[in-house]
Amino acid sequence: MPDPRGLSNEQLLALVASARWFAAKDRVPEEAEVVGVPVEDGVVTLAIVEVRFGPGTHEHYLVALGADDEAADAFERPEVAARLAALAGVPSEGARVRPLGVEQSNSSVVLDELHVLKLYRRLEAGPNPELEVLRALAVAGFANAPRLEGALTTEGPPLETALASITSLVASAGGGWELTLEAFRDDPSWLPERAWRLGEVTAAMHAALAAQDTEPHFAPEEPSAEALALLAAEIDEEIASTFASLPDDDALGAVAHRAEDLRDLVHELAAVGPSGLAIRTHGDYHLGQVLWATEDDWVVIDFEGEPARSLPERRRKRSPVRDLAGMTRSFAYAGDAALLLTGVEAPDGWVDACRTAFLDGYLSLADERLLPSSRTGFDRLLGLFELEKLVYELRYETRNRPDWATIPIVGMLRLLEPVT
Amino acid sequence: MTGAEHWFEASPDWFKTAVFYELHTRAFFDSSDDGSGDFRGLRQKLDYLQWLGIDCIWLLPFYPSPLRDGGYDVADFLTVSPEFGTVDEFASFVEAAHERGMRVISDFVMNHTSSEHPWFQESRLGPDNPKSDWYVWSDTVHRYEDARIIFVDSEQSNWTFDPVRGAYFWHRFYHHQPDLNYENPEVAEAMLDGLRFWLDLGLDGFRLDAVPYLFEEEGTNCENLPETHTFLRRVRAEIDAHYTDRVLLAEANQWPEDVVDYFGDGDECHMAFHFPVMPRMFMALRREEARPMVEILDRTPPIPDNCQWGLFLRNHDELTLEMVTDEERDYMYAEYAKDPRMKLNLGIRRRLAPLLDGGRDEIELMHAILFSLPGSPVLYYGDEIGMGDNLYLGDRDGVRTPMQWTGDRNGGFSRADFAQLYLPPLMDPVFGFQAVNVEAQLRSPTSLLRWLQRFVALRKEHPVFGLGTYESLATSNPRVFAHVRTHENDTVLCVHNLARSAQAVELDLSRFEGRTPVEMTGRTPFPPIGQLPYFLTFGPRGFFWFLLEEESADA
Repeated sequence: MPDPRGLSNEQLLALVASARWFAAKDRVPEEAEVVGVPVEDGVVTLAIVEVRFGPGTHEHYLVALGADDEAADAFERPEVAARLAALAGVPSEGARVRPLGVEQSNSSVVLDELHVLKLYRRLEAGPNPELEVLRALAVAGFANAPRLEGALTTEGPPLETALASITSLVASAGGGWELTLEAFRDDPSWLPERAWRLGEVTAAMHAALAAQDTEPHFAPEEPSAEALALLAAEIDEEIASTFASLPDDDALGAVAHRAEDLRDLVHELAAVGPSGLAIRTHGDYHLGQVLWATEDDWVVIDFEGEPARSLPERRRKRSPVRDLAGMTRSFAYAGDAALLLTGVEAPDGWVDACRTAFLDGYLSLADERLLPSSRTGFDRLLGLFELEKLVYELRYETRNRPDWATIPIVGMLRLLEPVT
Repeated sequence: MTGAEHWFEASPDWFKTAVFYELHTRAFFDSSDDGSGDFRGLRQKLDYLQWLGIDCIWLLPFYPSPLRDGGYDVADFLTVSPEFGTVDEFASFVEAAHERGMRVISDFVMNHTSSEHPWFQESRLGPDNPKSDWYVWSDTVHRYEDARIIFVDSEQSNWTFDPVRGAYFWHRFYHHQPDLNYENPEVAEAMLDGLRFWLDLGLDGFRLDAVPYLFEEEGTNCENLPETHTFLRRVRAEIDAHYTDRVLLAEANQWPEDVVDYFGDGDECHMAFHFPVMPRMFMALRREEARPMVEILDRTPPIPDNCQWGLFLRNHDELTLEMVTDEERDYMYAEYAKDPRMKLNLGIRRRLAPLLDGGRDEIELMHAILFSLPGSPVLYYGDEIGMGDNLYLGDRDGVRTPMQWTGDRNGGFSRADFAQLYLPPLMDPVFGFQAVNVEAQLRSPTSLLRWLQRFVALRKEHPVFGLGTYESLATSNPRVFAHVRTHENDTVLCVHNLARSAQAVELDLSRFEGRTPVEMTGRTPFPPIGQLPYFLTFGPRGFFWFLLEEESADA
């Protein structure tokens, strides 16, 4: 059994910095140290590694080591996964373990085709939003999410946080994103036909999240008077800094000089009136976060919020319209990326069809207390959140996938149209 | 109730890189429409403070009080004044702040109580009652005669006769604020109980008000006595033994060489305000020379590793001129208090923006200097939007008017009738709420508020400002204040032009030869540093912060 505290700086850095879930890919880690060993039981050792960067900042990551002397992450080994599941409260033989798809920020395995065990990799102090939300949804009787079966937490030091969770495996045909793309070849109306239902499920999810009105971390709140102005200021700053650092690229020409127009648009869209109650939300809602279950219905997964945001940010109560914008942008991505990814173009009006059905489905069941009081206000708030996403998309794509930058550009031009 | 450790990673040094924000619960936001701010109202404004980038909120006293000294005259240490809400509402505010990643400390008045405190009411009854020596009583005023009078404008003596007991009681501040007698172990124990009460509710620490005056001794000036330090070490040991990540911030308006004693060997207060540097920043600006700041910083002794200075431009008190020479004080009065109403005690009762004549360049420059110095900056509520003051209100009330949220009625502070407000909001055409408010400044990307938010974010990206060494840099131009901060691999060069005219300067940066200065706000690389003096030019009141990068920024 290796003592993780005995691992060298190089071994720890190799273990963490090259992993898919290492978040600070654009920074150079200088030093790593084991600062906590919350689990050490002969089969599995969980070590909290503090990775330090030049300017004096650090991040915490969780690694799982096995019983042998190897300094390699052992999470996907059957005996390790089974033991972690048991520690989280779900005994498992660990006979059948398979890793679950591509995940950016955490690691998950399927156990015995019954459970999904997730190891949280980037650790932050505070209540884990996913565990909180899954519990709240269960209490409210929301059926379209996995069932939380157990969790493994530590009280620190160095920090109080969740280490792993275990949920029921949802039997499904696949994720919304992949199914949508696959369908472009033979049945492009696959998503448009299911978007109304997706809207209804989303409305039910928000209603369930708003139902915990005696639990302070969930009780719907009247947003403060300056909530919208703060949001608008944040988006405005994002536009300014994103456009100031845009690469010199002809492909960006269509929007490169439109920063001021977008900033004007922020002000126009921020005139929402009363925006409705703020609630806990999904936080990172898109087609990749919904499964088409074998029972022919949508199931929502992955409630951790956007991995790039800090924990207080991810737990913040917000307008549920922000989730809607995540999904409508996801439709636009699928429609615009169809050619790039599948070689088949999305039919004319495909994105609009999805969007209209989704929003109409949502509004048919929505709790009106959570929304702006007028349809104009609703459309503006949705536009504002879409713009927030678009700015993030533009920054991400120009840095990481320049070929994809046309997607947010098209989206921005579409939003700008009414004001030009 | 859960403490901060539920929300934060264990980090005993958190305060060293924190940005503090000082506010009056009474002045911030009124949720109950009674004309006075409260904890429920404050809670509603946490999103704003989080957006601004605040790490720690410092609350002025919120204890029951007859309010003859802005709440520093405490009548009960163990509860919340009813106008602010209940202890439960206080605790839920602290919890909500923690949830958003912010800590909360509060004022705790160690030295004295209100004369209305039951302890004093009991003590004055006579020498035979159990609390008779909880305060400092005397039959004569001829004791401790070497102690100065602090509130020179309103008090003639540190002794006041109490007709009930027929004796004089000792008070370093107002005559309605009798000093506690720390020679009595029961008093020390009762005050420790008070601290524990709030720490158990989740509070992250205290700003210890008026700590130099806890003990008295004949033949001394009764300030900074060894017994005071012994008691502070006891407070610290008590907190370290039972709580994690809490902070004690000393208010000791003293010279740096005396203030550092309040850090002890890292076993008294975690933080102490650096009072003397503050007036010298204003002096340097008006004289257009760096010398006053450089001198006081050079005179500041090193402090233990686990300690930090608290730095500020303005606070809830007058701009204190206790820690300057008579000559310097005359200069400050002449430059910053042209109207005699602006003076109070040994200081100037004005807010930041009016002191600087509303000059945006000056306000930015002063913040840049503040944020660049070794210490944790403490902002005063309202200064982030450039609020003004009201000289026609008494004492220090002129700098404690309601926060200006919007251009609506009462500045968006309260829905009560105007006459019900605890103090009238500012309504003058320059600094009044219709001209200066959060709502309007949030909308304008070029506003002071938006600038400051970006600037706070910039400072927080670089722990060097909180953790780094400080080294002043000789310049060829006395109007330019330059220094270098270094922490681990981050080296930052801060250069500020104090003059109201354009200036040029040559700096000897040869030891950084080969490095590229990258301007920090815009990430613009400047020419690499060579052997020759490094040449910079500035606009009026301009400044640059450079990250000295080892490799070219283009690489």
